[in-house]
Amino acid sequence: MTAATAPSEEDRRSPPLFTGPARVAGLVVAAVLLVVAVLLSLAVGALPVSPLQVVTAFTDYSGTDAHVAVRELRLPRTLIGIAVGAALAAAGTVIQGVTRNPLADPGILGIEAGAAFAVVTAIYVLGISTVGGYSWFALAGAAVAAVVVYALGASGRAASSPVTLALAGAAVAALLIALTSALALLDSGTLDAFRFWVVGSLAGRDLAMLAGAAPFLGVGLLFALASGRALNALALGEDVARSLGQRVALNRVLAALAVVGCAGGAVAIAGPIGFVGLVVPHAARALVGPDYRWLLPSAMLLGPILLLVADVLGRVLVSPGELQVGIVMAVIGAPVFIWLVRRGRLVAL
Amino acid sequence: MGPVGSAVGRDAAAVRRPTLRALLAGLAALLVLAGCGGGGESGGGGGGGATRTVESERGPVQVPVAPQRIAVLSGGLAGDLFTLQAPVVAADPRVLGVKNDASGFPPSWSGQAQQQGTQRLASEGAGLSIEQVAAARPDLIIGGGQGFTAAQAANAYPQLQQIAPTVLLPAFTQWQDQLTRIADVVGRSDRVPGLMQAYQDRAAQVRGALRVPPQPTVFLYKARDGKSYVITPTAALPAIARDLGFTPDDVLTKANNPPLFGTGDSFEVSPELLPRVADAPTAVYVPIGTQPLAEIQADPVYARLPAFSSGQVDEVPSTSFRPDYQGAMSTLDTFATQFR
Repeated sequence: MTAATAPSEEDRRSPPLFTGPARVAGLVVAAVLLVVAVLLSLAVGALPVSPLQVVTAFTDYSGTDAHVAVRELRLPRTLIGIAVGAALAAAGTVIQGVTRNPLADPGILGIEAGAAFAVVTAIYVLGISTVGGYSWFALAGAAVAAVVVYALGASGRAASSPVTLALAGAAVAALLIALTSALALLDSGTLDAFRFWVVGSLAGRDLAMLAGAAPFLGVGLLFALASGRALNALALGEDVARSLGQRVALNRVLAALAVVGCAGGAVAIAGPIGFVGLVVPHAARALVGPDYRWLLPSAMLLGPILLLVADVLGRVLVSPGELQVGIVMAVIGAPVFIWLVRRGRLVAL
Repeated sequence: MGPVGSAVGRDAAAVRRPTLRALLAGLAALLVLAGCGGGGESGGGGGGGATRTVESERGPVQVPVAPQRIAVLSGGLAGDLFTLQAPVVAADPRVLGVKNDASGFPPSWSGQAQQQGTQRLASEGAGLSIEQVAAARPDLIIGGGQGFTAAQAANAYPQLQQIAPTVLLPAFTQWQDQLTRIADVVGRSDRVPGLMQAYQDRAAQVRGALRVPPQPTVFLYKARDGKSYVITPTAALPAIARDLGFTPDDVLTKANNPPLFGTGDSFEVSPELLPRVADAPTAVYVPIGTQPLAEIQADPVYARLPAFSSGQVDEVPSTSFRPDYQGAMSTLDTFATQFR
């Protein structure tokens, strides 16, 4: 059960910012940045609020507009941003490790496609029209899609290799996306309701939704953290992992459960938000290197930073209105990803 | 395109004869039809060949003096055609925020549509069915107005033109402008003064019996994505309220002259800024986004607004937001019952 070491070409190409014992410092830096992002998220928005008012909103609440904005509006979306950002980043890191595919994100298990299909069905068949009402369908759809993808990927002769899993995911997602489009186009009312859900957002969600999804997020994050050692072994290839005493099939299932819990819970609360699961694992690798035992916690710190900063940008860019975080994320996520590619920090997994 | 065009140019002589024959046949058919039309006088009521020119978004269009088979591609425009008792052969049934009845038409004009035997244009799917419009054999097509259906009609304009004279109308923000313009297009302008007078009379009657709540008033709605919107003071609904003695609040100044949404009758406001923009003592809420007032009242952001905390908030139907003539008249009735 020795932990795997980093692929040597990665070190040669572009060494991580923090290596060896200094990786603790990397985590501390990420934690400090997260605290800054949280403070920004509480202090910045359409309504000008002074730092003092942010403090008094918690120490001496008097119900002024500023206090209400901080406590009732910004605090819930900040907490949801932390949970969703950490979950998406953890899911992305795990799925990239399991599939050994640097372009993998939770979408590869059909999670977003499954959630979208379940939500559009809920709108069309049951006439559900609230964000809270969608969340359970999104979670169920994500879980069912992931199970189907995993069952398809694990069946057949070339059982459960990263390639069969990716192919099964692509096939199931393509089918679900087509069915989702068909239902949305069949009825203009459904399309109207669905087009708002499909752009992920942190606004308009209350803490009850976070509490509802918390068990799934909690289990997912725990499973993700626990899978670090197994992912390190898998990074060396299945045969080496087996020779190291790893139970590859079991580890894959546990990792898949981590992804479903994290990404399913996140999509249930905030709707589909792209790029976090794709970009953050690469940023985390640039920070602490490829050892998943360090990679996973640092990704869980970097994910919320990216998401909260994107959310804050969305609040100020089109004031007095707001831009959904899903849109901001797509706009800033792509350049960040290209920047990482250009710096040569993408890892051959 | 190129090869086909040049082939046509080369074989023009070969094509000429059938074209000439078709032209002659068409002319003969027209003569027969004109004979059936009975004189073609404008007062005769027959389709005839008499046309006149009206303005559309795509320039002047020759339309029948008295159209007999109108296809209307926007539910928002259809209501006024029924109000003007124009013959509508086919209509798109979609009206913003309105749930259609069993007949598939909006309740405000489903009775007249069924009476006239109006065909419901397919509203499912992304595209407008050109074939369905053609099958209705319209002598005038009207499209445009507010929203998605206007874009559909604009996209299909070249094909629609081949079916019948097609008039695309602008996105009206005032029901009076819409009614006047539609009446002009279908040659029924003579009915407009009577309808306007009926509105004025009813407004005066309602105003006399009304108890106007503390002013000014802010007009609000919440979109399906949960975003908060404030209706501009010059939009149709606040204008009707003004006719009844209400004072629409100057929300544009309070919101620092924000960018307006769509045709300019509303703008989005962050929940953080809502207490500043929507601080009027009275509020009128339109449930366009499917969330009823009761749900909004439970929202802590709205519950703190002065109008909400003092109970001075009322709900009006979705048809009051961008009303046609009937919508404006029923808005008067709504105010009469809400602010008794």
